[in-house]
Amino acid sequence: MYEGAVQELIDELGRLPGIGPKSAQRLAFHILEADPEDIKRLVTALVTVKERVKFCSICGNVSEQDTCIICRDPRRDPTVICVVEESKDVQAVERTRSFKGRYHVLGGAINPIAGVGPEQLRIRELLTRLNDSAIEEIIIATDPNLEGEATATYLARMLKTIGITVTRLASGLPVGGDLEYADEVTLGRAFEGRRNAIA
Amino acid sequence: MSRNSFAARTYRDDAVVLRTHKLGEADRIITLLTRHHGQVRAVAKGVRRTSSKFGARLEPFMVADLQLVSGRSLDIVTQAVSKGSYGREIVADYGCYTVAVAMTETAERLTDVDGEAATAQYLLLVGALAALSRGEHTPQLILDSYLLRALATGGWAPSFTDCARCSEPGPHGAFSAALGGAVCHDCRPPGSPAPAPETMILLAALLSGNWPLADGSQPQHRREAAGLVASYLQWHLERVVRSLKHVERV
Repeated sequence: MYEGAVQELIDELGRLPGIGPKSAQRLAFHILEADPEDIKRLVTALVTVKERVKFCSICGNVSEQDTCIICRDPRRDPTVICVVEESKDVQAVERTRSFKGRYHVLGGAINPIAGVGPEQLRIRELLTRLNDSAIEEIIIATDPNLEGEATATYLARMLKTIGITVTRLASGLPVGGDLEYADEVTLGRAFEGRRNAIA
Repeated sequence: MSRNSFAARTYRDDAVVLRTHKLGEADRIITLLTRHHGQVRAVAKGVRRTSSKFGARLEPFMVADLQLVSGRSLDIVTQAVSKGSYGREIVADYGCYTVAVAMTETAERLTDVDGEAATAQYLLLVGALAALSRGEHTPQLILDSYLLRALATGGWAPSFTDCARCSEPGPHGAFSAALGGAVCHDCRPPGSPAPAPETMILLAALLSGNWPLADGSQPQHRREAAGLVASYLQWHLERVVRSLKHVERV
């Protein structure tokens, strides 16, 4: 145990995800030894992010205004919505530069053991958005793990009666890998999702 | 060879994945119910990367032949070969998924590191997941049957015919979770529920695996039986099974 401020800093850093007691101690001593100007910038960034950043009132993505930069952009296709679990998934899809539609961030995936059911996600907000007749397709881009698949199944069931095209991201082999190293689940999915090679 | 060497700390076992937690950048903590080593918590390194070789084999409801290395607090998964892949069929039906999650959470609560006692729980859970993935019976009936049998395997076998307290031959009209099932008129604690006779017959059928009788039961008796099973489970576990409230009941 250290005295006062140092121990308080270690305790606070230790509450961050992925930071154990040793890492918290290392970070605390790095902060103690760092240039005061660098630490002031860090403190300002922490305060600013909590004061300025909020969630987009339309899609739930992080934004500094009431609506995010993607929802404000008139060049984005309003007929397609890509449903993702977290804001960081928006950035992953944006990096592909192949999707020009808009997003809807659910805020997680269905995980009953953790107490997260459909009511805890932004599914009601998605259904409200679908009242807009311009929307023609929903792309479900939840994670390809069990919670993500369960969320996709639930969404597909909810959206089945609305009459909008509902698609799911393909699962399969990673680009650059060898077929012999693929596990049977992924390879099975790749076979199911095969497409016509003759254009 | 030193007792602490890598080879000495390596062991192999069949396991069913109960749940996963994210760890660090790309790792996961996997909670497993093994056939011979009881409940094991192990780190699976890099499984959240899309290039992971065994990420898909360590998803919940998967049964795999695993090689693990003992660690101080957590073991490490070094190899995984799939033995039963039930996740895909289960997750394709949301109702089935909620049932399977409730079963794995119950298995996690009922088991510990005691390998001998866990073997029966392991076989019971794998059988229930397989039945669920094949769609042999209504998912909710499979869940209630699994819960009753898992509790019986854990040492809390209920009685639905003879009185759970004085063993007077039944059938009896009252149910007490605290006393262990059906209770006679003399042993009945005040305020005990009085389920329909058909509900008690259904509960006995679910416990013994009499599926023709269970499949032919009426919805109102299934609902009543589900409520009694849930109360019996929570009384004996002494904690809430969180996923039970998310189970979709028809």
